[in-house]
Amino acid sequence: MEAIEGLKDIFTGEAEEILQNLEPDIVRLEEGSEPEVVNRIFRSIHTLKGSSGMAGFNDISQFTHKLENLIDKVRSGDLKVDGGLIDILLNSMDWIKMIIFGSDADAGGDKKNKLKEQLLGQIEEYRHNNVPEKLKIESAVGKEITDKPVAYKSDTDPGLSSYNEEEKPGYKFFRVRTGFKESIFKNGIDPLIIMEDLASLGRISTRKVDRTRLPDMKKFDPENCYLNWDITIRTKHTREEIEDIFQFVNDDNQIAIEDLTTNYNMPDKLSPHKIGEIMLSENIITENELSNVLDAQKTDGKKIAEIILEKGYASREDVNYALSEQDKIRKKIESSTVRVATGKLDTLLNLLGEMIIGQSAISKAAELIGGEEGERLKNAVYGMDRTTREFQEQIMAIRMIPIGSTFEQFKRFIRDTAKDYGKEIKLELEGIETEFDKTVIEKINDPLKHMIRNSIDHGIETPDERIKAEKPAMGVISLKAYHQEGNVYIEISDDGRGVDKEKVRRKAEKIGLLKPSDEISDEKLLNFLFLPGFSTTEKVGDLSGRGVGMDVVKTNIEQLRGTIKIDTELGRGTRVIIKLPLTLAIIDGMLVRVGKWIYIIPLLSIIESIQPDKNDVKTVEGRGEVIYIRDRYVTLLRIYELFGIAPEHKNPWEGLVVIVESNGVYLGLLVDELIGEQQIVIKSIDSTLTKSRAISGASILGDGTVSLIMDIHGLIGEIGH
Amino acid sequence: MKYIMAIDDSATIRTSIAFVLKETGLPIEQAENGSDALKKIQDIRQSGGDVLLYITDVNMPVMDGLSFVKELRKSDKFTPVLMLTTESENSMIKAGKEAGASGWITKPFKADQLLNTVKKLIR
Repeated sequence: MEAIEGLKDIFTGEAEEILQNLEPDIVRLEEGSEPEVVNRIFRSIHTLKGSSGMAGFNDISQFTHKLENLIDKVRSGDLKVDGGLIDILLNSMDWIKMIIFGSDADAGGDKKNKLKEQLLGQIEEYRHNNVPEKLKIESAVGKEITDKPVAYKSDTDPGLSSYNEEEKPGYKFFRVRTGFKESIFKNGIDPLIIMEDLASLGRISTRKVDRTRLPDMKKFDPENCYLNWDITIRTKHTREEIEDIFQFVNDDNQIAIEDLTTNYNMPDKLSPHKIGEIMLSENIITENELSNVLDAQKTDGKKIAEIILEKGYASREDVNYALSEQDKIRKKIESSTVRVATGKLDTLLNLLGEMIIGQSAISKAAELIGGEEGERLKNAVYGMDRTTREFQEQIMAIRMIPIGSTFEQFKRFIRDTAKDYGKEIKLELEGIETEFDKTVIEKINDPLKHMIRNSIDHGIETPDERIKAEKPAMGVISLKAYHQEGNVYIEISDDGRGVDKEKVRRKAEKIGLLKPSDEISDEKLLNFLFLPGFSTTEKVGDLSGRGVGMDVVKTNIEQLRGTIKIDTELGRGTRVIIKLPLTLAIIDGMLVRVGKWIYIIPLLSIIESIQPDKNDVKTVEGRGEVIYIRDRYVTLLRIYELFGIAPEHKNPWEGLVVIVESNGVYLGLLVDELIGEQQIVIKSIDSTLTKSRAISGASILGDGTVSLIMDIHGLIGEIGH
Repeated sequence: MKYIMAIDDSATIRTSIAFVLKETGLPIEQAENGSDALKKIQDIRQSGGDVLLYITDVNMPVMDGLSFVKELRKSDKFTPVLMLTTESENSMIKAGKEAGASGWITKPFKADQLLNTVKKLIR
């Protein structure tokens, strides 16, 4: 705090003012201890104490603390006032002035210290000798003021936490049960922030929400907190750090933190079915030996047990023992889980799809019945709809597996490839626990590999180049996965040289994609990189740069109904963002009618539906028909023209225009009518039937008709935006 | 504009807070006591701004910290309030919480201590 410029000056000025007012008040005490005066003296000394501490005058801070206690006793009537007290106070003021304003030459440090000791002695003495008669017995029992700090638990105490770290390497498990009081929001505290902070310390392994306090809707007060959590977290942090999260709620809310580490680390419980970990927990090998072994395994790929034997860390007997333990654990784990062929899960999902189709058929029938019976049937179907949705989620959850192992396998790939290119690259992984549909994981592997290869070949510079560019010699490629708003994302970024947008532009002009006069957004410009045959690299590398690849990557991602985007900064690096849907088999769709045909538009692509004003429909040179909506022109596409069918309305202002978006490109689709939202089971169409990218599949509707599912991304690509 | 408001009769403390909290990137509005703070809150709100966090001393002339929190909670139920206390003011912590304060920090505080605490409240 001493580093704050001018803080001492501010304090000196402030102290001068306080002292000026304080002295007359002290003298006034002699005339009688009016509460008003005592209070003022107390407050002044209190302020001095706080400020001096901040300004680095620790001596004064400690000293005024004693004075403050003294005055506090006077204030509460526990101490009498006499001439002796006035003397002590006035002398104290002199001492404080000496410290603040006196130059060092004025008086030797010794003299200052002597005076302080003398004053402190007098303060003590006064406190003992001037207790009013009636209070003497009571205070003799001991009402000492406690000097214990209560508020902030010191996190600077290295002894405690490092001791814990040493004792138990690796992860710890804590069970945290919250008992937030209902009125917690009224203290300006949001429990959600606290829980998010907690989650950031590690991985939540179990989570239960306690909803028992949740009242009827009638009694529900949105300003109250009704929920509580019971969470087990796996973390490398200490108990103190967990407790620190609850700094603001510890005292008046019930927070129970329990260390479960020993339960979780028992070999018959969860994790260590790895041979190395078993030998570690049985004290056969040490932590250091294990890490040596793991390193060795990375380079020569032998089995852990073999390496341990080779290095002589353990006898064959011990290794055999550990292997048999491993076998036991494996059997235990297997007995509580069932391995299922993915084919069976696919069948299950397909059956569910049929069920949803059947359900919409019933729904349709209910409308036809009409009347009270129809209404009842409809309500029953609504109820069923909720169950099927949950059913779908559960099946999807079974199919979900963490991306971790997919990411991990690139470590080796990057290591080997970087070596071939004389580059130093480290791989960083984030969000390895993020779960993806198994099909997605299987299909994402190749595109990922291709983009990582690109990063190694074109992105990351050689160590020499990097040092010249004032970057660390070792480059970083990072893979990150996360969920957001019903989608899953994968980001591949590197801190390499980035893509030269000028170069991309020159190339685009050279092959006639752009005119020199054209203005284009960065996003669209970088999209050219995904075109077949488009490469800015002059020399052809072994790995990439042959102009094939990125277009294949894009096609692969689109097959998964995902999108891909490049973000780059010259000299700083490149980031590729892949956005994928959570599930591939079922989507939420909007049914639209054109003439007598029904098409399905994925709900995710729809922005809004409007009936445009006649004056807002225009024809623009080079863009065809557009609609003017809220300061932007959106290209109009007539679905009936696209599919060559007869519509009911040919004029946009008579029909409806559905505004859709993909990758920042907007398009208005002219339809006759919106029919409604529905869960749509996607049935793939054989490529002999259609090669159009505008169609992603088909679905069977409730009345048995087949309807085409439009792929907005493909559609925009097809009409050439 | 979103502010952090530092309420303390000591300019030393206010300056220290403003200095330490520079890292949050938020402007720090200073007030000398509770009543001064209430006035400044009104000004900020009238100009379309808001306060994200109050840091208030307990012992101040004109209007002390406790009365300030009580008064503030009449018009603003949910903004976090951090009390600055000294070791001798332990009894204040309970009263402060009952009045609607979010937490407290003991003076003199260390820079990172204040910063970490503030970060917890204004994410």
